[in-house]
Amino acid sequence: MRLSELKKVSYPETVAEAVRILAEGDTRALPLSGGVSFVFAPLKSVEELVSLSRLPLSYIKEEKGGLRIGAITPVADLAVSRAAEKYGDGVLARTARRIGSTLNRNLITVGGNLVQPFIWSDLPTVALVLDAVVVIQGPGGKRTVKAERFFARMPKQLLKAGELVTEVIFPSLPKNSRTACEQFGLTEVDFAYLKTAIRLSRTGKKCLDLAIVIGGATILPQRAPGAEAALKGKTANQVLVNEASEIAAEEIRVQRDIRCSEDYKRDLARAQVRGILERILLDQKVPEWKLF
Amino acid sequence: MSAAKQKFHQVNTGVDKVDALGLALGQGRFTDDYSFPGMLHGKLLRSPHAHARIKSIKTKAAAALPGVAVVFTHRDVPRIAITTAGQGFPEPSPYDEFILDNKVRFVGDKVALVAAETAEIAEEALKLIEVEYEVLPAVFDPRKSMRSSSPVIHDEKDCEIVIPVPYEPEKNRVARVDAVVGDVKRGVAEAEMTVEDEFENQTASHSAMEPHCAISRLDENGRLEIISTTQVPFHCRRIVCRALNLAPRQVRVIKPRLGGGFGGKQEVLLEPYVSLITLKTGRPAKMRLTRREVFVSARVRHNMITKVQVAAKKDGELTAIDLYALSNTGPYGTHGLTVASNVGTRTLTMFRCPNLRFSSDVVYTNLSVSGAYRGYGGTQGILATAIAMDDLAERLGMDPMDFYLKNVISGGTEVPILKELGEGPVLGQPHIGSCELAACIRAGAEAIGWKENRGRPGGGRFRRGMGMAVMMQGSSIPYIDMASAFIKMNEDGSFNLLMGATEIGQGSDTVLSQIAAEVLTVPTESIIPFSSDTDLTPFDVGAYASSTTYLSGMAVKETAEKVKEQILEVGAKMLGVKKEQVTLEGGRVRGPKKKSVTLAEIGSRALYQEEQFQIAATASRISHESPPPFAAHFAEVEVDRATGKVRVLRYVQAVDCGTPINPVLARGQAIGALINGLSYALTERYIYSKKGVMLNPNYGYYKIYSSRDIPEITTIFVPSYEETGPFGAKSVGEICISGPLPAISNAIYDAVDVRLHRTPFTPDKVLEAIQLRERG
Amino acid sequence: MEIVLTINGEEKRVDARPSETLLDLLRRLGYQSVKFGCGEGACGSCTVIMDGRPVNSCLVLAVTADRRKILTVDGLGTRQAPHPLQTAFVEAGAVQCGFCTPGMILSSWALLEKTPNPSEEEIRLALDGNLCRCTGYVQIIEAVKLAAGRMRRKKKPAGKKKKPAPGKKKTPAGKKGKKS
Repeated sequence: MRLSELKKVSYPETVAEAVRILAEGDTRALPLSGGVSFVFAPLKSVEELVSLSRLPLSYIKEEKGGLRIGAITPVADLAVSRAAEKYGDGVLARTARRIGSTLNRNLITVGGNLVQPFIWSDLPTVALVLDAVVVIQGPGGKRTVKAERFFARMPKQLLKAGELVTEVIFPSLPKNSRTACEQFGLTEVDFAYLKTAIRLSRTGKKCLDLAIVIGGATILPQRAPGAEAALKGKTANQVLVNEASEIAAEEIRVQRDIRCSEDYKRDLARAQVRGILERILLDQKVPEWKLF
Repeated sequence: MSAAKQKFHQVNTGVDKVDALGLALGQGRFTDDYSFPGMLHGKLLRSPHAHARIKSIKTKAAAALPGVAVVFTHRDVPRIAITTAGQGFPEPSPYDEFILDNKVRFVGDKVALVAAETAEIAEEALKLIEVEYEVLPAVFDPRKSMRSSSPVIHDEKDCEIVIPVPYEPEKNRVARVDAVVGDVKRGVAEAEMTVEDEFENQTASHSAMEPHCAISRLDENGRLEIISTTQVPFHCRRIVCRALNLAPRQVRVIKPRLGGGFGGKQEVLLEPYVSLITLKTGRPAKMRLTRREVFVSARVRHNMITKVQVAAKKDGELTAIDLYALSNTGPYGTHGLTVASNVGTRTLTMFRCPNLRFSSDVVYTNLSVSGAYRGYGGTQGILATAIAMDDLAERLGMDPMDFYLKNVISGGTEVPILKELGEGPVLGQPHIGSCELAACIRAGAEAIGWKENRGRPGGGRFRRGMGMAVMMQGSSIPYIDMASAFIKMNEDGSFNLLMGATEIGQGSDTVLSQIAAEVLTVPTESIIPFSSDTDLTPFDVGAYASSTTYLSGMAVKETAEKVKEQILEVGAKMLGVKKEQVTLEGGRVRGPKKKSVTLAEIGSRALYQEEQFQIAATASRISHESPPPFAAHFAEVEVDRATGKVRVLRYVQAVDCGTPINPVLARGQAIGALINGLSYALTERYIYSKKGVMLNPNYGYYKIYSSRDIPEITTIFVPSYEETGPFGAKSVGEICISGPLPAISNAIYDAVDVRLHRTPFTPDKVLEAIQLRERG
Repeated sequence: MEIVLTINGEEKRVDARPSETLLDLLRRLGYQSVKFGCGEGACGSCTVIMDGRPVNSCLVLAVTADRRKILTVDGLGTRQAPHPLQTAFVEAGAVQCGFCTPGMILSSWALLEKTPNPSEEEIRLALDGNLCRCTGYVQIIEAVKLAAGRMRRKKKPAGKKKKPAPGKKKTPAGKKGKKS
């Protein structure tokens, strides 16, 4: 039976209080942000639930050309945020609009989606491509972790007793940068089979720098360094873009998914990498509704 | 005469669905919304194996868990072979299921039953039951079922079939169908072009939003009362009685608000179990399936492999159709024979072709249990014929639209194959009454811009295409199914309409009230419908076979006409004239010299004042034919050649259902069935492990459409009138689900030059076909 | 565990069991309009408005719902005074079996609170968490548009057309026997 050991539920109203309760409770206390993951992962032996819902951590602020997003911000807010729409060509808002359904998005939080990723989780991919910085507060004070390190292993392994993700910072992006993402599902509301996010900086069609991140092939998002190397510093054309997408399709690691073959995930990676590069590097026009 | 020409005042009008406001207010009460003091909760232990004998089963620990009231195994229940399929009696289904058995035949099959104070305690108790299984080899491929090397799924001596048809469980064959008209061999020889191909449709879940639920209790006189999500209350009563050695007089079955059926609730799945608990403990008992159990352990659509050969002359005239279906009924026979028969009746009868053959083998496997599902064989058959004919038309250099116009039947055609294939006995030469299929084809083609737009895929990554299909269904099962109604009049001129006919969301309470109101010349609000209580309402087979408007409607119409006669008699007396001198119009009995009396005055007099009697009548009907509705569907798709994703851009359906008694509700049926068909064509599938475990029993991985997925839809009802139906009506509940599979396959072909024969057309399959074609 | 909930404007102290969801709790308290459809947050039959947002009540642990304000469809309208959405759903043929209806109406209500004049796209997006197997969604979307229009006209000053009363036979969006 679910939560058969539960003795207490607390609702701290300050981060300090939340940290204190979690540090004291250690493994017997579980922090809940959106609190929906119990549907997928059991919650049997916890004695205390610590609801983060009353912490003042629901905000989307524009700062120094970037964004600061509170950890318990519902992704529904991200989906309609004008600030998120303006930042990074709107990939955060666009990705948020694809997380579950409208109803789910009112419960799922930005922090939750980042800290407890499932293979289908959507924000880690764009957080990685945008070089986000995760802010953690704990008994030892405040620290920051870059996305690259945060998603190198399951994020919870990074958190010490009593620590809490309180905020995600998306840094300002250079003027010549373009970002885009795509994901694939069978229906409009679906766990993504695969998603791709690419950020690059360019002058004309010359690609100065780029990051290609693939999510949904493995639990944690992964870069496609071979594909990146094929384009970095080069002037792009269709042949190069095709090559890069081919390399990406071949180099990614793919975990078993009962819904489709490994080959198909690679086909999707090829299609998504190519499609995004065609749009943001080769300036080809594809109507929004055709993209996933 | 079409509906437009007749002047109706209640029929052919979009009156509000009579229960809609209550439902919108949240006041509708569904089975799970009911509770009784002292109610126990039942849970079934489910088999982890696809095929196994239960060697031993230890329930002591489970029974000892605090809060557990009783535990049942096969040793504790009568061993009586039943069918769970709700159909007429004697059933055309084998009696091959036992409510608890010493054998399990699919992953998710029932093993034991626990009743406890809460559902959670019952769940915990399940974990304490120890079962020793002897795991047996299983068969999952219907192509292999009949091989002598395959395990026999029903090796018990006591399974049987009670109607005189072949039943060969030793071969894993549930049924064999053979029907011939003319000489197919000669027809093929005469042809100048033939196409032969194989198709397969996948298993699918009805996925009604309301999971199955049943409650039982003993009433104050010790009778067993069952409240259930059943489409078939009277069949349910009969089958529960058979399973538990009870008599119908001891049992009452009630269906409250029901949250969607689509055939999935045309089975007696939970009622025997709650009844067992109540009879043993004296306490009320409830069971409700989890969504997982609905996917795994309820019923599914028959997966079939169909082979078709179609042959025609150079000018497109069909000379032969030969159709074979291998139907996978899962481990229990249920609707196997009848669904298979419908594969033939819902395809071959549409065409003017002298040489027809239909044959089918229905076989057991250890996968999910198949049962009734909207479309009921027609969906499977039309997948095959509509793609094969599209192919044939292309090879003849003909537009499929012209091919169909050349070959489809029109009204008044005789259809000899129905004699061989119909679900019931067919007397005389069966024929089709109304048929506006040609009009459907023309209307649909025009609406989608068929001539202008097909054959223009464009270039680049995204290609467009159009495809079409024609289809039919039936309206009731002639000579087998019966409907009846009872109407009584109140002193305010209102009428209680009691009927067995089962409202499952399709609007039968409303439509049947409209029919009664039309005869009695009152507004529909003056009819108070009450349905589906085996104690209080007269018999009706239930909501299936698209029979409610047509058959139950005729019973209601006749009942209302009898009541009308009584009203005229009383009215004539009140006006002091002869009955022949009065008419019923606008809710009044009108006599000579502009004199009239209101229905309220008549009702009041009859109940209270003079020569008192209850104005009331009952009538029953069976049907003598099953007039098919027809439809032509047109789909426009866009295919992404990089991912294989198919987007349906526009979809047009043109339907002939005779008179739509309620056009708003009829449209709802057509669109609802269509959307179900679309996701069936593109996204729904059962993913099984090698050991027969269904791996995606949840909405995360079993995808149905949301509001965000639907294309632009146009629904056209072409004018039509069926003489044998109430006010010209046929049926509309099922037919439109059968269009999308072939229409989309044909549209994909138009877009990217690949023909897909196996559903669903998921993107990976489409991409694979495109890549295969590109490699040459 | 005792929690305080405000349900349809009424404050209640209730005992929430550790293992139950908000859905379980609400149904236990007699709010049968909130339905169990899947238990995994996908079908939306369990939709409630929680602190102004439509959510799946099957995804909320009851013990964590202290001090939340809950609105169910029972709190939107009565038979004497139905909410315009409820009337519109009836008239447009948006109700078939009615199981998804409470959730659909609540999600629609939440949309119209923020967006009184929604586009077709916005309506589809707002309802994407409410599955329906009966209607195919078309008439539901039409009902939301119908209600939105009426609610906007009601807010305008005098000079508006008389609104048809509920329960009258009408074919608003689909005409009888014709293309629709």
